[in-house]
Amino acid sequence: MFMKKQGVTFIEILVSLVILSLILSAVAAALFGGFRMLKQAEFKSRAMGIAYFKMSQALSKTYSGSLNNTTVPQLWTGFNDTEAEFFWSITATPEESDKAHIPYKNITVVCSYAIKNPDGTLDKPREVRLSNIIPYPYIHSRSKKVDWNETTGNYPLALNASQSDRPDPADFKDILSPEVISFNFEVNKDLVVLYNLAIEHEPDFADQEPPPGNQTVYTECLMDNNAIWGITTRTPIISQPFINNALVIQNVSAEPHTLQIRWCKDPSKGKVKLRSYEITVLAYENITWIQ
Amino acid sequence: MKILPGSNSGFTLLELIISAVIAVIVFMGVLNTSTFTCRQITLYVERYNMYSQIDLALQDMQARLPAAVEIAANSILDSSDPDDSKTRFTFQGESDIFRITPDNLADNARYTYEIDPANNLVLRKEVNGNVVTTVLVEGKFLPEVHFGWDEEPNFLKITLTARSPRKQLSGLTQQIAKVEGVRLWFINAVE
Repeated sequence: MFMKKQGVTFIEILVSLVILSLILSAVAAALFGGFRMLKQAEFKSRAMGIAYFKMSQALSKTYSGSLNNTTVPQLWTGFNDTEAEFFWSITATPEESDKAHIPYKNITVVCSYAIKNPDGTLDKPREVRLSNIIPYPYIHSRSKKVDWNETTGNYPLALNASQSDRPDPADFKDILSPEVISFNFEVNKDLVVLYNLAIEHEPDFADQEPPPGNQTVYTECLMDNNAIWGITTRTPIISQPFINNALVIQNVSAEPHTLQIRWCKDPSKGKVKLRSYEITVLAYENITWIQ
Repeated sequence: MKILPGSNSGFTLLELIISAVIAVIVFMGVLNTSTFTCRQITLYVERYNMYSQIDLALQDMQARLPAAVEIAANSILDSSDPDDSKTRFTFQGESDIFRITPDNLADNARYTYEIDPANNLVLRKEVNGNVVTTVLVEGKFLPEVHFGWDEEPNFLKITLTARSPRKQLSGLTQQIAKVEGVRLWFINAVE
């Protein structure tokens, strides 16, 4: 039997070392790669925070108060960051849905950033992008309130009596002619109109004070100066010098409109004055129109 | 152990030296790798804690600040200075953040966010003279908070940073920074 030599050759040792170093290099690369990714994730997180902040700010504004264009990229200085540069910009694009033609604003926030290399140069720029929309409001309101000076008695609207028991349209006078409230919504709306009028009569009913019960005031609501909506109120001055009315106007088209409140006194005796008025219009989305 | 006659199974000196060198190299590699891995895990855990605490603090502010009905005079921001910011913010808001009653001041609490002497970012909640302090970000992370405003008078900009006291590996940033926007519902933050 020949003697068997079982030692390791030099080549085998070298091969083993090469394999071992390859494995260790891979492990080291994985570890350092993990750190590099963590570093990038940190800056991406900051960029996302900035983008989210600017988006929250944009969404907190109303449809009409929000942007209508694109801002130029601006440097973010909030972090006092020496390791990266962050720039943000917002784009607001007015758009409209295909089916219902409801307008909305498409908001896009872009935060671009570049990490600084150890030699001070900037790495390739990266960016995060967030998108959202600000829809056209479902409900709008318009309101108007006027109080005249009670102490001076300086009322701009004094109304003389009409001629007949049932006044003609010509007898009605506008409250703050020619229009009380104007609006131009971008989609069809249903309107709820509520108005209150405070009336004062002048003590010129000769020997009767307060005025007799047949002294009444009519009010009515017109849209675009040609259509009367809701009921025409008739209120005795003696018992209720405060007049209120509520009416609904459906399917108001998406174009400029005006609302007027008119009033008239009946019968043809005495004189009344408008002390104050308050008008509120609620406009909400016309559901049947959308369907 | 039976030794066969004529068998030469021992190690030469050269073999022993080479084996020892290889063993030392392997041992050092394993030791360094394990040390590095342990340090990496420590840093990951620390960063996770920093992120968690910053997120917790910002969520807390996001929940309490919108319902603020009064802001302390020393926390009001200057409208003429867009860069004005405070490191301490005191306001009156709902004691129960899930029950918003802005017209009822009786159920309110007085809140203060500030950095305490131990460097903790704390929330102090005062109800009927009783103050409860909650640590939001631990002092070991050296938190800094700035309450500013941006564009709108009722839109608060909260910048919160934390810094790891450890030496970071592979150029990892020591500072973690986050910004949050909070819209106040009932009051402006500037005058």
